[in-house]
This record gives sequence, structure tokens and C-alpha cells, in this order.
Amino acid sequence: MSLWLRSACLCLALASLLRPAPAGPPAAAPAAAREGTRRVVLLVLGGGVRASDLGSRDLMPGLAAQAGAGVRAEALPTQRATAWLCLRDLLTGHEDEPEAPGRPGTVHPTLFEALRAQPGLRAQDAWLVDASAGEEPGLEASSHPAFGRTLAASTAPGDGSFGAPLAAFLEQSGRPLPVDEQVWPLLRRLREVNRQAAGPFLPSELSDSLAEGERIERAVLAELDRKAGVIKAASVSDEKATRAALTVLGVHRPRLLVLRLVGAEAGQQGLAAYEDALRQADHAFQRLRSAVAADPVLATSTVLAVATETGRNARPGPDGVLGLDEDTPARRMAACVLLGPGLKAGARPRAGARPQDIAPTLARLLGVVLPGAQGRAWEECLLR
Amino acid sequence: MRARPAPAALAPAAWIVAGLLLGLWLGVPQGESAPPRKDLPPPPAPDRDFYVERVAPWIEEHCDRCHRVEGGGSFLLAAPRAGEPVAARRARDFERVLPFIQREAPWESRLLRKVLALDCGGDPHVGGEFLRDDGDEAETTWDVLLDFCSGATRSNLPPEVFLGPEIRTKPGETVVVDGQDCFDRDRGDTLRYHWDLAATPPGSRVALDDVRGSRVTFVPDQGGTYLVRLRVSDGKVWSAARTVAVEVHQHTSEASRPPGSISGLQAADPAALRRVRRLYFDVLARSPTPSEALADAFAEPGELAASLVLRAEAGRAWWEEATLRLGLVEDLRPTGPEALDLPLTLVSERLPPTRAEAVLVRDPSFARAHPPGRALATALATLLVEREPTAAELEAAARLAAGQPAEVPGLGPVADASAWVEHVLASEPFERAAVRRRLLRFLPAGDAERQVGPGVLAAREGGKAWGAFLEKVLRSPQVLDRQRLERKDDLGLLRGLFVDLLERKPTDRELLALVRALRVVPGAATPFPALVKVLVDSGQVPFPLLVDITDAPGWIRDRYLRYLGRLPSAAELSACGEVLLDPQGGPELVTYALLTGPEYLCR
Repeated sequence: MSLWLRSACLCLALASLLRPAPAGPPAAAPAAAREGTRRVVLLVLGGGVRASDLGSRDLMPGLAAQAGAGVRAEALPTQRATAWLCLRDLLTGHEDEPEAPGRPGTVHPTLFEALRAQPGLRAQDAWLVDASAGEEPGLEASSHPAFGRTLAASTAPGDGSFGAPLAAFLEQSGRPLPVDEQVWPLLRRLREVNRQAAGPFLPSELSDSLAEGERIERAVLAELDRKAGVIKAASVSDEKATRAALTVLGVHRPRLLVLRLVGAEAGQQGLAAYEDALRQADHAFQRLRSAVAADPVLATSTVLAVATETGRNARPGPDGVLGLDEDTPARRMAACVLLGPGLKAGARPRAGARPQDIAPTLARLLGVVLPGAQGRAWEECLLR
Repeated sequence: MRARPAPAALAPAAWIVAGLLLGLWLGVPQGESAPPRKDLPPPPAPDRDFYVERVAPWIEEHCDRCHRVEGGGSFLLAAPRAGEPVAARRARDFERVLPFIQREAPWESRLLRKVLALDCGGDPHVGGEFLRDDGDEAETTWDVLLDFCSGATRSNLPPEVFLGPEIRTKPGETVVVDGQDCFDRDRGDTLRYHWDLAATPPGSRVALDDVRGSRVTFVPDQGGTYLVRLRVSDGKVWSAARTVAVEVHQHTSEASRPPGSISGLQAADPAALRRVRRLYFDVLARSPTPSEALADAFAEPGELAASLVLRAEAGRAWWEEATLRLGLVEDLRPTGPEALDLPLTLVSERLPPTRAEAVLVRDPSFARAHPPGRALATALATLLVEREPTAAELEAAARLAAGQPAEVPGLGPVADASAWVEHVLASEPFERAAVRRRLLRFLPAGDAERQVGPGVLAAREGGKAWGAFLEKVLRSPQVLDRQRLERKDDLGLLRGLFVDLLERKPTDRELLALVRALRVVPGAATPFPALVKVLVDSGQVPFPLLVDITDAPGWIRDRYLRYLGRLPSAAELSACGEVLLDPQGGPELVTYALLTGPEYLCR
């Protein structure tokens, strides 16, 4: 392609940035989701978030607008002060793990493992996307001999599920150019004539998968292409993780996706940075919700959950920092909102609810049993 | 101190060079460690005193926090005992460290790779990156650790072999392999050399002229892969061996042709080209270069199939596929000499797949990749016998992992997992599955299934019977006259793409990264097109400008012959011509569409 054509392509590609991405080929609408075929998308707000801020009208208006239609638990007391251990509790429903240095894993099976122990489920059915880039080890699987790494979640750090394994390769080869929308009809035409010419000799699954293939191709290219390197957000790592989670959601339609954002750590810099991070988290929630709603397979089967790990000081200190003092009650308080099918609108869990209940509740929605969980499923909030 | 030539630890820039030249694919992996010749002693063993004095302090500073407590993974340092002298504890640590050292290829030792930075060739490590191999003149901790793995003592540092990158040449041209960059770590000792040819192509009668000199020369008489191996001695110990691959073939690169020109494939019968392309994918898991395709299109098909399977590259292709399938890659790569020699023995001894797979399963790396518990039960069932594990097997595995005896279905009570592994390897379901896996490289599923019974009988008889059986299969009409297309495996797809687009093979790191990306979406709909796009837009492919294509139909026909092994239909020629001239199209888009069409995914 000549230089001017390349330039033209690049300009058109840049122009396409201003347009919303086109939806891929529509998938067939599924039957109504039953327990056992349900999906869960869990958005975890790490880095210390005040329980009262989860779904507040000022900072998280998107979540606030939806929370009334779901289940809300506003004050879940936790004994922990360490954020990633709280996340482990969220995933295992178990709290009494000793916090020994050098002990990276847990022996209690995670929600990922309990789900993947079901017959026929693959690694692509359970995902952990962590904005902290895997700094906290052992969250995708326990060391339980009957579960363990064989049933671990797939992980997608900020570079994405494709970008991560390809990071070094992309550094060497460069990222691909964005594909202009006008190019797709040309590609489709050439592939179609190829399919017709080779059709009698092709394996049936290949000759039938052109449309599905284009859906995957578009999602992967969106994750890898050159415009993907341009990110503007209060928390770049949260933005990258959100993007990776959206790709995972669109490509794999997983049964369980956990996205952990840590932008609230900015509270250490000051109240304004903390609030910006929460607004960004709310935007991430809305993008996840829109992606679920836009996909007919996901729309009827997906429960969206948003939970915090640990709390944060109720008020900023004299230096403007919204601190993480371990002895304050607000620091040891979590919160949770559940939205979607299988839940009673406006229900609240009984008194005594705690963070360890979230995993059993999500397990119940997924139709699996979480062995070793200390918490209880919030049956009073679930539709029979 | 003299700077060490980077051995396995590749600096970032060397990574690209490694892709082109040190590729492990046709040649031997950098960890290649064919057994030393019988007239030479084995490489020196790690020395306890050297460890206690030079290595232990560093280990204690960096590794204690995670690895001297439960939960630190398989590398577990000795638990402290009250009142125990430091030297005694370090001596116990030494025993724990030994399994992480590879004597035959010390530079590949896990002890080194786990602490080395990723961009220097290290392996992922939860605890972080501690060392860089930056070729500094001054002695670094990296040097000390590599000395230790190489068998250094307090009175002698071992010599180190250094061979240059892979060599590419043509038949009849003199090859010089230079060992003059080898050096003694003490610098004072005179080096002695010992060369040998570890592998030659079928029919070659080449011999080395002087196996004791600092360099050897030879003239390749056949196309294919030659493996030249060198060990050096400082008069006290012999080093581990290093090997360099010499690739010999007629090769005209895309870059050397004028832009827009065609490769000359139209001179051959398209049916023959198609068969050659399929045989290359079946046996070598890659496409032929245009020059290979052109040369082999005139060969007798049965002879071509039989000779391809005897190439070292065929063994290499099997090895890469098998280790990837069994999860024995990166820091879980095989370490035992028998496993590392498999690419060669598979071809030279015509090793049956049952025995070859058993070697990999018995390698210590398999137990590391699939530790006792659910992981082992799942691996034995899914990877070896190709079925799901039963509930009884999972329960037995959990008991064994907890250190309790267990009742294994079909075997009875066992005290540890090794008896279970051997039971599976001796079972008929495993034999059938291993033979089926090998046959599926060459035959459609139905034909492969029919040949499994005779194949198992041949495999039981040994290498000679298996070799005869395999040759019979390769010469059968089901292989040579097959019309139906089979889906390419991941490795074949990626190797073929590199050869078709870049006329080179991917390095092992490139291959692993791309396979991982491919496997993110299993099934018929594959992310492969996006990977093609990366290469097409990388600037590494010399696409012609539109004005340079003077014969557009000829150029399109040439692309079809190269990438699909056939001529385009009238409809395809017309559609490609239009896209070629479209303002949004061009040569890149036509190529991209061809390499991402459904037919290219097949062999």
C-alpha cells in the first residue's frame, strides 16, 4: 500500500475513534437463564473504599441509579485490614487464614475453582482481571489438593488476555494498524469466495465459522491495535483492566468474571484523587453493564455484583489525605450491591451479614457449591 | 574477568537475533544437551564448598523470605534447627538446591533462570527478578551462580563453551564452525577441544576433519540439518556440551527478489505443489519455502514423504508439539538427558510414540508441571488417555497428595503417585492414544483410527517395526492422495505463517507467546487473523507497491500457489484483482485475506 494510502487509512482509523465501535454479528438469543447456567460479573473496588461511597449519588451515580433494583448490603464488618486478603475472603468465603509472610496462597477453594470443577467448564469460563497486575499472588486458585491450579481462573492483566502473552512480541513487531470499517466488506468478500472455492474440502466447523471468527478478530484487534496504546484516565491501570475485562466479556462470555480496580489507592494523595478514582470505577461499572445489556447471550443470564474490599478513614486528615488507619471502624467495613436475574429487587440481607457471605451467595447464583466457605448465602435475597 | 558471551540468557537485542539465528526449531534447543561422548567424562557436578562459601549468602539474602517456609513452591530450603551451625544448614540447603541445576546444560538451570530478568531470558518468578546478565566485565552474582551450576570449585573455575549462532548455507559450500571464543574462567589454563557431529541429514556421509582443533570445517553433501557439538576442557574438567545447528538448503529470500516479482512456482504442477505443501505440514508442521516447494515438486511423492520423516526437523517438530501439549515449557521444560535427546532419537532410532511420550512423562518436569493431586489425575487422564478423570481417580489423587495411600481404579492400593503413572504408561488405552496422536499428523481421523491397532502392535515390537509401519502409512494413498483438508494444529499454523510471510521460522519464545494468544480462544473461531495482522503491519514483510506489480493476475496466482498450493478460481482471481486496485485494498489486504481465509487454516 502506498504511503498516501497508508496515511489515508490512518486518518480514517483515527476518525473512527470518534465513532462508537460497531457491534459484531448478533448472536442467537438464549433461553431464559436457569440457575446453573447463570453468569456473574463481580467488580471489586480495592485500594480502600468507604462503604458509604459504594453507590453514592455524588461519586457513583451510575451504580446509585441501579442499586434500588437489586440487593444492597451497606455495612459488612471485616476483621481484615489487608486489601488482598479481603479479596481472598471474597473469593473463598473463608476468613481464618493465617497471614504468614511467604504463604502466598490459600488452601480454601476459590469461587473460580468451585465453578470450574463442574463438568465441561474450561479455563475460559472463569476470569480474574486485576488492575494491580498480579502483585498479590494466589488469588486465581488455592493450593487445595482436590482443586488447585488445574481449576484456576484465567488471568488478563492490563495488557489484556491477548496483549499480555503477546507483549514482548508486540514490542518487537509493533502493534497492528486499526482496521477501517470500510475494509471489512472487502475482507468478507475475499474470505467468502475462498470458502466457496474450498468448501467441499473444508472441515465443516471452519466453513461455518466465518461470522463468529470476525467477532473474535474485531475484539482482538481492538485490544491490540495502535490506538489501544492511548489511554487517558485518572487511573491508567484501572482503565486498562476495565478494557481487558470488556474484551474478555465480549470474546468469552465467561460464567464468572472478577474485575478488580485499585484506583482508590489514590486516596493516599488526597480526597480529590480518591473521588476521581471512584467516578472512574462507576464509569467502568456502566461500561460493563452496557456490554452485558448489548449481548443477548449475557443480558438475560448475568448477575452484576459490585463489592469493596476494605474501607478507608471516614474523613481526610489535616494534610488532605484520606488515610488507611487500621484502628478506625470505617477502615474495617465493606459493602456490596448485587443486580440481575435471580435476585429480589430491593432486598437486604439479614443482620449479621459479612463479606464472607458474598462468595457463597454468588456460588448459589452460579449453581455451584463452595466447599469450606464460612459465610452463608443470602437466601432471603434470592428468588426461589 | 572476561565478559561471558550471553548463553541462554538473551539480551533484548539478542532476542531478535535469536529469533532469526538461534531458533530452537530446526536446530537444537539452547538447552540441548545430548549425552557426552563415552570417551569423555560427564560435566563436573556442583561443588558443596563453593556453594557454602560463594552462593549461600546470596541465596539466604534473596530467597529465604519465601522459600524457607511452607508455601514457597517446590524450591524449599531446609528448615532452621536450633543451635545448628550456619555451615551445616547451608550444607543441607545445598542438597535442596541440586535438583534445580542442570549439569548437562548449566546455563538452563532453573536456579539461574528463576532469578534472571525476563528480558535477559529468565523465567517468570513470583518473587521478582534479581539478576541481569549484562555482559559486564566485572564478576557479577550471575557469574557466580553460573559458575556454581557449571561445577566450579574453590580451586578451579570450569571452562565455558561458546559457539556462534545457527549457520545457514548451501550444499557444497564449506562450513567453518569456530570455537575460538571458548574460554577458561580462570583464564590461565590451555583449552582442549572435542567436536562431534551429533546429527546429519539422511544419506549424508560428511565427517569432521579435525575434532581436536579450535575450529572445524566440513562440506555438507545433502540438504537438511547438521548438528555440530563441542565440549572443552581446561585440563581439569570437561564442560557441558553446546551444539550449533547448520541449516543447509537452497534458499532465495523474498527480500532478494525484485518487489512485485513472482517466485517461479508456476513452473511446477499445482497438484504436485499442493501435495508437497501438505506433506511439509503433515511431517514438519510448517509450509515449504518457495524454493523447497519448487525443488520437491518434482520428487517422487512416496520418497519425499519417507525422507521428510527422517529429517532432524521432523523430530524437533514432534518434540515441540509434545512438550507444549504436556505443559513442559518455560521453566517446566524437560531437563533429563533422555528427554532432551528425543528430537534426535525419535528420528535416528525411529522411536515409537509410546516410548517417546513415556520419556517425557517420566522426566522430572512432568511431575513439576502436574504435581500430585487433582492436577496429576487430570493430566494422566486428559493428556495421556484423552478422557476426563473419574471421581474415584480424583479422590485417589487427593489422598496421595495428602500423603495417604489410596486405591487407584484398575490398579489397587498404591503408596505414591509414581506407580500410578507407570500403570497408565503400560496400559493399552495409553498406547492407543499415543499411536492415534502420531497418526493424526498424517491421516484423517477415520483412517487414523483404523490404523491404531496395527500401529500399537508395531510400536510394541520396537523401533524397526514402527519405522516400517510409519513408512507404509506415509506412502499410502490416504496420505499422498488426500483431498479432504484437515485443520492445522496451532504450531503448524504459526510456523507456516512465519515461513510464508517472513521466510523464517519463529523462535521458541515467539512461538510460545503466539500459541498462548491463540489458545485464549479455543475452538473453530480463532484469534489467528489478528496475529496475521500484526505480522502484515510489522514492516518485516516486503510488500510491493501497486505500481511495481506489472502482472497483477500473475502476482495473485503466485500468492495462491505460495499460500494455498493451488491456482485461484476465476471468481477468486476477479475478487482479488478488484481488492488489489481498491483504494482501501492493496497487496497487504489481499495477502491478509488469503492468510486468514478458512482454507489457510487447513493443511
